[in-house]
Amino acid sequence: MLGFWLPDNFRSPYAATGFSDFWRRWHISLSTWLRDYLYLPLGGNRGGGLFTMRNLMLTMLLGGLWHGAAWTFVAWGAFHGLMLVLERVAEPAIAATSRVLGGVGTLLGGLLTLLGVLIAWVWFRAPDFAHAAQIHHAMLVPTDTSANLSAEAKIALIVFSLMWLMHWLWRHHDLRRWLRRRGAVALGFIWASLIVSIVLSPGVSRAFIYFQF
Amino acid sequence: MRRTFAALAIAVMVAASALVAVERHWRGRGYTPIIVDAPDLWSLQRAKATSAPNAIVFLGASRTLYAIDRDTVRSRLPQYEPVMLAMDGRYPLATLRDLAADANFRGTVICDIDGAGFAAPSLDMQKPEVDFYRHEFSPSRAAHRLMLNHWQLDAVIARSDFSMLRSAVRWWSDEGAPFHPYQWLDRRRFGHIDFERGDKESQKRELARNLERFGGHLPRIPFAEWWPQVEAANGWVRTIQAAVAT
Repeated sequence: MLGFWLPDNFRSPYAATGFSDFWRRWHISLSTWLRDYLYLPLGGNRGGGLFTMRNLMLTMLLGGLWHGAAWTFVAWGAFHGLMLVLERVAEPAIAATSRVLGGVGTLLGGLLTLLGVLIAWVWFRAPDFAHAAQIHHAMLVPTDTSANLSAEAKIALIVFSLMWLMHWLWRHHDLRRWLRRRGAVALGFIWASLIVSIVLSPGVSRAFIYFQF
Repeated sequence: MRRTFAALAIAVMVAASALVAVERHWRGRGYTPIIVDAPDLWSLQRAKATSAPNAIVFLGASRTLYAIDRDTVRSRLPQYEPVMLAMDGRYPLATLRDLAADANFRGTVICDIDGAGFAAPSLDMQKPEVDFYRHEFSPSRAAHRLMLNHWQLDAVIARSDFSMLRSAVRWWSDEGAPFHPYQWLDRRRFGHIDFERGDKESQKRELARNLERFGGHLPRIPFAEWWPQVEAANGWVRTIQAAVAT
């Protein structure tokens, strides 16, 4: 666009089948920056197992702090760091299980990753740990009211499920290449639907999340 | 390149047609654009209270928000810049405290509060907006809000009641059409009420319910729970008066 090349920043992230896969798909410009300017200068994976784990944890903790100066962001980064470390430790077992289970194992890995990512988002969004605990409790502990979902909750569930399905079906596809093959009319209608969706999603105040920077 | 420009032209035309159709649909049902009150709109005015040395700041709840006419204030007190910081349904002590703590505030305050406003639970009613102004409001948010004001003043679809999500929820839960407001704010947060447009029967029922709930009187507040806030507010008023005198 106007001579600038805008790289892909998200690539079906909710179809990731592990946390290392997630970070190859989510906010790619940030994860690339963290890798090039934190993880690799810290030594990357050149100093053996424990050294690599330390570097992963430090990178993700600082990645958490990059989002805001709050302990909740540190917890979010620590959780992702811990998951990356565990994944590294369990790599041989995960590979062996995948060979046995095949496609079912891939789907299971995807669902477990999604669950972990969603649990971690609560720390990212909540103003403090007390609120985060309340949200985690509501998410994970079934109650009498769980079956009586509000209309908003049902719609959110349907939209999220459709989005997850799209991510999963598109996990090996390149959206940019697909769009390049579409004609002007199809592309125009796709862009129009995006414009209409954005304009018809006003809130009380829909300020950009990164305004705090 | 030709394909991109053609797609862009199609996108703009299709999106504009769809949005105009939705806008006309709601306008045809009697809805008009309104400014939606929000912490960033309040914060714009709060910032003006500090930056304008001749500010006359109105604090209070709905009575103040809807009963002060900006044009009348401007014509009667031309040397002052009117600033509206009252909030619908919320007592103003947190904002008074914030103005007293603001070393750069040199304006005049007109504060409307009744006895219940000094009760301990009323003390922090406006604190969320004060905290937003102190910790989250920024030049970029101010710029965003100024643009949003223009959009909300011009388009019915800028109101969140007409969003795709709210429309889907209304359809799903078989709700009626969105509420027809009978009170408005202008972009400087001065409010107006058209009593003719209100639903008088439901207002009467609401008033009767409240009177029944409190036995015809507002709840009584023990003196010991009330007096500390009066003393504190007195201190804030003295601080503001001293700042103006310097």
